[in-house]
Amino acid sequence: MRYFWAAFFMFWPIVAIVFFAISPAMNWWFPGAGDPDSLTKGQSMTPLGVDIDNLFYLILIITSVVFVLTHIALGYVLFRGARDEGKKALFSHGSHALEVMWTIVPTGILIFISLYQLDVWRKFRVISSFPEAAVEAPVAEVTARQFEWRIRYPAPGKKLQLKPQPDDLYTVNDLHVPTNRPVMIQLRSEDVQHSFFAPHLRVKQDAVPGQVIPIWFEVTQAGHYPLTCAELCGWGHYKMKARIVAEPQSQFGKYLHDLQHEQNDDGVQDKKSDDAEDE
Amino acid sequence: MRVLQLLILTLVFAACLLGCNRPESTFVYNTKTEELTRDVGSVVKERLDGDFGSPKNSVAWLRMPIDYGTFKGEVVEVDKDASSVYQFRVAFGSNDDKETGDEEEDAETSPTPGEMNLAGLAIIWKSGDYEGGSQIDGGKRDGEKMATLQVAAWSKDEENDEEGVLSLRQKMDPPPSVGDTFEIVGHKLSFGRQLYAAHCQHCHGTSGDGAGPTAEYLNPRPRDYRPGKFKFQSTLKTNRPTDGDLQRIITKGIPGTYMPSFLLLEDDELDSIIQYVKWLSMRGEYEIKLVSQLYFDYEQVVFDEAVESALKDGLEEFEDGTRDEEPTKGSIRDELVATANADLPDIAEQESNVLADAWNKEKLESAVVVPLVARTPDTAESRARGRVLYVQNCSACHGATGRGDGEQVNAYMVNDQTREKYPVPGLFDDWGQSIKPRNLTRGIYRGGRRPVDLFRRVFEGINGTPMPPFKGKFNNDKKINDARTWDLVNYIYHIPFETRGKSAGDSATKHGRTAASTPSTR
Repeated sequence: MRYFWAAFFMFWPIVAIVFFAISPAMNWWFPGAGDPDSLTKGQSMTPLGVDIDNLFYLILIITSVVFVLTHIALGYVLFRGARDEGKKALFSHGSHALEVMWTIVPTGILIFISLYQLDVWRKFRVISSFPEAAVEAPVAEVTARQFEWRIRYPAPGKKLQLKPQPDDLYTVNDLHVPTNRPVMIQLRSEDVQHSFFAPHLRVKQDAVPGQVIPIWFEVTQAGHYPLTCAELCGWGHYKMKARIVAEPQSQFGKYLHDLQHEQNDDGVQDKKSDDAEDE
Repeated sequence: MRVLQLLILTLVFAACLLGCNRPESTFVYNTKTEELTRDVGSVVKERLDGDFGSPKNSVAWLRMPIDYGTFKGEVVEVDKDASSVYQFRVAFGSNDDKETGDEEEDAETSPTPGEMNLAGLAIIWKSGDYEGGSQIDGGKRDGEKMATLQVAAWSKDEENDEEGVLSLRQKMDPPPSVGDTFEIVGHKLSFGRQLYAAHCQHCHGTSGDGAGPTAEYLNPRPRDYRPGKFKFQSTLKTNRPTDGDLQRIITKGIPGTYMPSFLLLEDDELDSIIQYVKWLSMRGEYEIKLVSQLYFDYEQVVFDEAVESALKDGLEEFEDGTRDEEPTKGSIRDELVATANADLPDIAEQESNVLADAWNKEKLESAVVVPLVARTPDTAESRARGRVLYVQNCSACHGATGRGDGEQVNAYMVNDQTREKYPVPGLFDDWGQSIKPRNLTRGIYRGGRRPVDLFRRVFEGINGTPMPPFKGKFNNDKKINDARTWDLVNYIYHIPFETRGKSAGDSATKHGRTAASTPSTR
């Protein structure tokens, strides 16, 4: 039992390292990391998401190194104290030089992190830094409500207006976006606070009632990605699952065209077009 | 102190032993069923439970036009020496032929027997000694109805989804022979029940009565399916909705209400939920129909009076000598109840046929409302014609400016059933809930926003609500009538984009507006 505390404090860094080492295989990591069949394999599907991941890894490495080193130091001190049983403890008023060092080094690290992440934050959040093409023509307005996502697209060839237009197209829980170009979404909430969370795209943004909040992302790989609500919004919070369908521009255009056709269905048009092959 | 500790320990121990009881999931009966005199009520309940079962033990009543889901199989191996067997090896054939359901159903998405839990499903023998029998006791019951307590377990082979060992709950004596074919019916019902429990039940209730635990926090209230009325359907008002209508509501949700979209359900999940909802609705309506036939005579109060008067007559007859035995209250009661019991099978037969006919797929598909003419182009002239129709037909409820504030909102409505006025002003639906005419300026259309949806709402009205059908109201010529309906639809689409002052100015003054419908008051 002499070495209990030394062993105790050495135990935790090992737990931490093992935990992170097995995380991907246990599916505790980024979505899809542990699954070789998944589309994403744990990678972000947006370029900005890759930057965010890099920030995450950087911070993880810094904190891991600090955590492991401090625990080794602590364990070493405890081990020495336990081993040298007869030795008398030394009384000290502290070391000025040491204190300055352990204040300045962490401060330096924190200042570095806070400055280093600013650029990613600016790209993600500051509208003047959004890609111009995306701001110019928002793809859709997404309105969160208890408990679904209602989506409004402008008619093909038109621009999304703040207020609904007669020819707008509507869907629910089904957000289609073109791939390989930055797209902007206008996020609203109809009732309470919700949060637009697309884990594979590394996008998370609260929807606040009364506000229109722009978000942007650029999906590099076509596919279906989940969209969930990340803000406990009521008893049906768990029902707020939707999908983001990223598809090449041409398919996206076709999708909007089909949507428009469906939305203009007067119950007669399809029967007619069977005969006349127009539309 | 010691005593207290001991007491706490004992209590904790007792709690661990007893555990928490899971609440039993049961169907509730209608209030009217509960108001029947007890003996008759219990017979009705028995009948209902026999035909539809309980949530855990639902019965696939083949008379009802529901796609319960069928897996066809064949016995491939039986223990030859045994005189009776519980289990045998089976192989399921291709299940993607027309028997299983819609043409649209993809072979890829339709489930294989290996994916499904077959326990509790019914087995119907199609060939061999047991042919026609649904019960393994040799088919003594009619093949149409069956308790779904047949399959006990199904363990499929590891590498093959279609083969494995099937265990039954009852013994087969003698065993089936190799090559006997059978169908296992009802996987959609049991799968649908699970999904319904996960997604729908907390609002719509176990019995589909719209009274689940979360229901009381919602306005409008979740639908009670039991009367068999569905608001947003493509079919004529007197008909039931098609599967497609139910699918639209489930996948798209109902904007403006708490019904969310369940778009991410797989096709087979969606299909199973639809079949289960239909089944619940049929169960509820069957109960209502049975009870309504008996209610007039066997409602507790009426029944007590009937017993009294019959007793009086009986005693007179006894004194005259036309009756042999002296009647007592008990004997009279038994006589009357026996009449009800004797009548019930016929009533059940008749009502179940009516119900099956109402949900008949072909019939529903022919009842879909299709406009006779294509939508009139959305021009100013068309809207102006629509505006005139709107003011004449719609503004009493929806208001001159479409805000849903017409004068009917302040009037007292008469209850259709009791013929009495409701105690508070406003409109009420058939479920007795207060409802408001839609505010058309918001551009939220509950039954869908396609032109054909709006056309159907106007043409056929909305089932169960004071929104009446307007078919044939605009013109005697059917085609012209439909063209006028399109004018009105064009105008309704335009209402959210109307400049307020203008529309209120030019027509509301002409058509006697009320203070409440003046736009400036809101």
